[in-house]
Amino acid sequence: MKTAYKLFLTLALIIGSVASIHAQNTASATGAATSTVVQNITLTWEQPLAFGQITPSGSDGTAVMDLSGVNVLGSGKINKAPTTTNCTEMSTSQPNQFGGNQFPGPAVFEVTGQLGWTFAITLPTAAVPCNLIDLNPGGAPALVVDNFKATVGNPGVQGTTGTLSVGIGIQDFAVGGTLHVPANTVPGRYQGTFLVSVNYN
Amino acid sequence: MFKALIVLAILAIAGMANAQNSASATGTATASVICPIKLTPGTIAFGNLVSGSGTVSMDNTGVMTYGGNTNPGSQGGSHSPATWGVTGQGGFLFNVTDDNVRAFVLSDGASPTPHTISGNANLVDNNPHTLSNPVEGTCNGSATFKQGGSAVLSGQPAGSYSTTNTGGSGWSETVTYN
Repeated sequence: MKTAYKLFLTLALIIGSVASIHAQNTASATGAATSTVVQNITLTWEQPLAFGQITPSGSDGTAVMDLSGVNVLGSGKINKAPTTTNCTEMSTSQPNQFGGNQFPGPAVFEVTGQLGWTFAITLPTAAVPCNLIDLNPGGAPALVVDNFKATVGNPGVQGTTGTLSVGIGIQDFAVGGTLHVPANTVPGRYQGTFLVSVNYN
Repeated sequence: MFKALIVLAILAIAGMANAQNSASATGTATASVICPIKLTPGTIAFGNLVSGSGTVSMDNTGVMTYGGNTNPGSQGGSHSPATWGVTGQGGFLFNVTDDNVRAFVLSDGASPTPHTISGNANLVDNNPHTLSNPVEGTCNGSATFKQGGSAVLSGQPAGSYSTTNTGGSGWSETVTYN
């Protein structure tokens, strides 16, 4: 009986010793991860870029929609007199929009997102066609709009960056551009779309 | 008398045999008790992500890749891979092992139903690793290893997400002397 007891004790010590060595030979832990998810950025069209009603002359001309909404007549004797050539509803495809605004004015967009974050505006870098859409659709060469500019906020600051500093994370910006009107352009209503996008920068 | 002599002779031989059948010596035993290995967990900090859809990845050096529309631009905030700490016997080698999945769940802890983001930590390679300070008899050997991971966003709302929030869970790593 005594011998059996000693044997049992010895075995217990050996097993305990092995277990102890094993526990010190390895270690485990649980890793963690964190992240802050912020509001996604959205862009909403509020008003189209409209050059209003202009009259072409016998020579090429331009009309510039500046960022304060003033339609500046360029060279080529283009007048704001009613009516004939009317390239309105220049708009964006982010989101896609078409308006019936007959009055000149810059396009206006609203950006929403994470309050205090900054964003960048991407404007078209190439000329955008503005096609005849009534009377004789497709029956005349397209006008083109280029030299897009943006201003952010009110009063606007010209540039392509802004901060979502209003309300819960809102900022507006306006987009203007230059309409090219060739000599003796066919009268009618011209319309086109252009893409504007924003992203956190 | 003769018989008595034989008996004595047998006893004498037996006595001699007994003397040759036994010997004693002093044995020695040695052991080096080494320091236990310990592991301190790390945290993968993904920083700021834009609510949207896409896979966000961080390599083990902390370089981020943003998929889909999750890119915060230059406003990604502070992001870094998990830095795990190992202590033990200086100069010893150890291996890092984990399960095959290394899955974790980030949660915003919202009640009653938390929003969650699933992810996986990266594999830790370069085994074996070495504990520094190979000074015998000291337990100041140390080492670190870094670990990035990836997370899949699918429209979760804005918020602060962590594996330690309700509904979240981490993954396990193990270090072993090899």
